[in-house]
Amino acid sequence: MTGNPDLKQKQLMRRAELVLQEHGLLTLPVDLDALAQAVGVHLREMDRRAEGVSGMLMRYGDQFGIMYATHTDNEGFERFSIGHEFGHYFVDGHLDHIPFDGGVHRSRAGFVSEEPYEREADYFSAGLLMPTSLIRPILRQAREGLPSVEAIRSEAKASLTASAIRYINETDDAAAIVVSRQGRVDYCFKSEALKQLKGQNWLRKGAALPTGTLTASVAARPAAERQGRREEAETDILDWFGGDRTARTVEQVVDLGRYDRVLTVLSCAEIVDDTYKDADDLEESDEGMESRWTPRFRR
Amino acid sequence: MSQAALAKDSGLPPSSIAHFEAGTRKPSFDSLRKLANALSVTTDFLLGRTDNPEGAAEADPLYRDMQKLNDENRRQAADFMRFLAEKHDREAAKK
Repeated sequence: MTGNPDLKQKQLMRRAELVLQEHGLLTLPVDLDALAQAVGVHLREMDRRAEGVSGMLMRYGDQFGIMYATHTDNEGFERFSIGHEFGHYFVDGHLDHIPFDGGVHRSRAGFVSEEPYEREADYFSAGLLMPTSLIRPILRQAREGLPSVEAIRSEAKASLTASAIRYINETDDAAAIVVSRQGRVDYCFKSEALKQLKGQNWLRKGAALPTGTLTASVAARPAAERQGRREEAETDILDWFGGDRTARTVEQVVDLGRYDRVLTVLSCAEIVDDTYKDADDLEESDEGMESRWTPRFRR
Repeated sequence: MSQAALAKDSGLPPSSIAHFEAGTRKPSFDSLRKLANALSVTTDFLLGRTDNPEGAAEADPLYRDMQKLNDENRRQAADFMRFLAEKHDREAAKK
């Protein structure tokens, strides 16, 4: 991807929103069949045994088609896969860069693709299924953290992880999401408000989950005990990202089931509230100061 | 045909047409189809895959890298490609 990645991401999401606007389809849940019909792209389900391939964009002359996977039994995943192939179709420049083998381009699943053009298609898909102008009003109504993520998922018919990433893109809350697998970080995103906190670390791919956190204890349980569970605890943002400032944080953990993955949503309302406080109110209490200067050990 | 006329007929912004002509930006597949319709040529002609403006699609060596898919998937992809090819031929015959 070229230039500023954040800007490029916003441009791709905006492009998706404009496509919907152009065809009068800017409502939730976005009607992908209607979009396919409007632009003359044929959609077809792939056999359920097609594990490993999430979708294919196919071309024969002037005719285009999208085949998409159904093996996950996850409507959000299917919709995201279709949106991804639409990304290859609608984003400028992809016709020269995506490999077509015999008129077929195949894509692998996942929101956080490594290859730049696959990542662009992912961003387009996220913007297509969850356009900013429709997501913002949902976030104004829903409570911060997991309830916001679930509200997006339900309205947009998107997967939980894709909804969580869109929540982080759009929220004014200080929040982060972490997707981990077998106790190791797959990826982590922070909201703009949280990025403003100085001195924080990033959780890199492959890093161990911070010990003593609810997520680490959930991840350590056998899969059968974890299955479908949702849990919540109060923590401190320092426990997750270090930094200079202590802040009460709600940690919400959801077992994603497939592939031993766990989603964590971290939200700290008090950081956003600071914007509206007087400078005097921001002075730390003795207790806060003591807590800040006490060496913290991972529990 | 002028850039303005092509923009009008294709429904694409004039600035995009200028970029495509100058080669400073590559179109999307969607834009390519809109341009092909406006110019009454095939997308393959615009892609430089055939010299005939109304020509049928260039024959691709189909499925040369399909080893990642199982036989059933390959069969389905081939079936879908045949559907697209028939659709293409029907549309071409109408023109």
